Amino acid sequence: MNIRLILLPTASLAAMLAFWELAVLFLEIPAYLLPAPSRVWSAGVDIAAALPRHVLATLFTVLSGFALSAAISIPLGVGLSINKTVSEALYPLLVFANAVPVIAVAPIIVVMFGTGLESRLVTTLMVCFFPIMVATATGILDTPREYLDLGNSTGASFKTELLTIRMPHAAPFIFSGLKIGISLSVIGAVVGEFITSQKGLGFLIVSATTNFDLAQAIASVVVLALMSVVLYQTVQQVQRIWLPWSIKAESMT
Amino acid sequence: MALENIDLTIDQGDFVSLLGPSGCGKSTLLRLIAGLDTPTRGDIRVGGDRISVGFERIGMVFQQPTLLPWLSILENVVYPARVRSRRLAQEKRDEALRLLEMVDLSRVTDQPPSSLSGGMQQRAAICRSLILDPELLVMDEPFSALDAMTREELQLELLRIHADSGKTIIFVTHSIPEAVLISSKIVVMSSSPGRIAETIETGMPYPRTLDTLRLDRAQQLDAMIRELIYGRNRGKK
Repeated sequence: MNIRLILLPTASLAAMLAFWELAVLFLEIPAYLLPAPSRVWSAGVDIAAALPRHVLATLFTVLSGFALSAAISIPLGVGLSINKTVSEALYPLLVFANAVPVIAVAPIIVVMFGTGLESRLVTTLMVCFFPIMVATATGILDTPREYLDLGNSTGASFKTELLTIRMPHAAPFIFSGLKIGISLSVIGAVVGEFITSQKGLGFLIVSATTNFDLAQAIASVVVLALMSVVLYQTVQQVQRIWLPWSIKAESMT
Repeated sequence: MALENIDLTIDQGDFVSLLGPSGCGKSTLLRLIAGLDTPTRGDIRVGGDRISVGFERIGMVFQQPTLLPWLSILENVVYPARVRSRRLAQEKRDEALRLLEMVDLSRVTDQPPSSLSGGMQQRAAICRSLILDPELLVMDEPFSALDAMTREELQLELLRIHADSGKTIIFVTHSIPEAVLISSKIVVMSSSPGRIAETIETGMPYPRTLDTLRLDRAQQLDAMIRELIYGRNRGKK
């Protein structure tokens, strides 16, 4: 890999952190308003022992919510794309459901589903079902006419065409949806943790801010962001292994 | 694109070209023959049977190779068998390998299509059209996207396949020399509405080579077709 691609962002990150550190030091900004990076670091070290428990809790919510979304959205996307009646009947409702801000219905969800995992799964599902569903439907409908001609010329039934042509063609689209979905499900999980949870990174952020412990809150946010990046890269890696043919065409995403 | 009063009979083992300017409906006619579209009136029969989609006795080659990018070359070649059943796909593997060897693609059977040149991809597509041993091969300008040298190579290859297998071939082209070189019968079409202007027996012996085009008969055919397509005066220029 190009060494510049590692060196340059590292240098700009270091410069930014140094500026932040010095600004806090010389402007004498109190730590309850803006802690210096060094303080964030030591706060991170302080919570390091408890961190795995919270990371695992959030990770569990993210992954189960993500899996649930995929399990619902992919078949739904296929259904919408192949059946006009289903699409006409459901699509407007799904658009509406997606337009509802999750943070606005979160209190309602807690009343309906309680303070357990269910609520957090619902908030995750709410933010991440739509892009996966739309990506699936788009991929199915995007199948080039030549591929369909090939299927027809070989006498493929509708089901065979779906399984051997439309679905494989849609697979990279679905992965694009999943990559958006995994990042969104981190958001959904944290929103869920804000309102219901006793553990997890979302909980850690809320409890730290109620104590004006911004250093700990920022440390938690950084861990959360790192987790999101790792999850995204994992989905990308799965695509690379399962669909190596699809990578070259969209190497930027 | 409308076609009108098309009446065409093709004999077994014929190598027929459908030739004409763009918009004359030659591809439309081919799609009807392949069962991809349905005629509003009349019917199309192969050996007395009405065409239905996916007719096992027809193999089709498109203008683009149309290899599925998620399958290897070998899997692409057995795809028409896979459509019927996994087991048939398994059984046809040896046949696929034999066909790929025939067109000199033995080394790339496990590669993805994207690693092959356009000419190699179209060779694989021809193998795919042959995998179920159809009686009729239907080809829609299969070489038009290739460079001139690859094109000649594939024309000769196709002549060889025709000679070896005795299959009936219907071949759409807009190249007059190509039609003259390969066909036993040339159907010259004209446009609006699409119709058959003339059906010409080339009457030149097989096997043919690139030298065939230098025969007097070939030159005569070339002039004749140009006149049919461009009209008497413009053809002379």
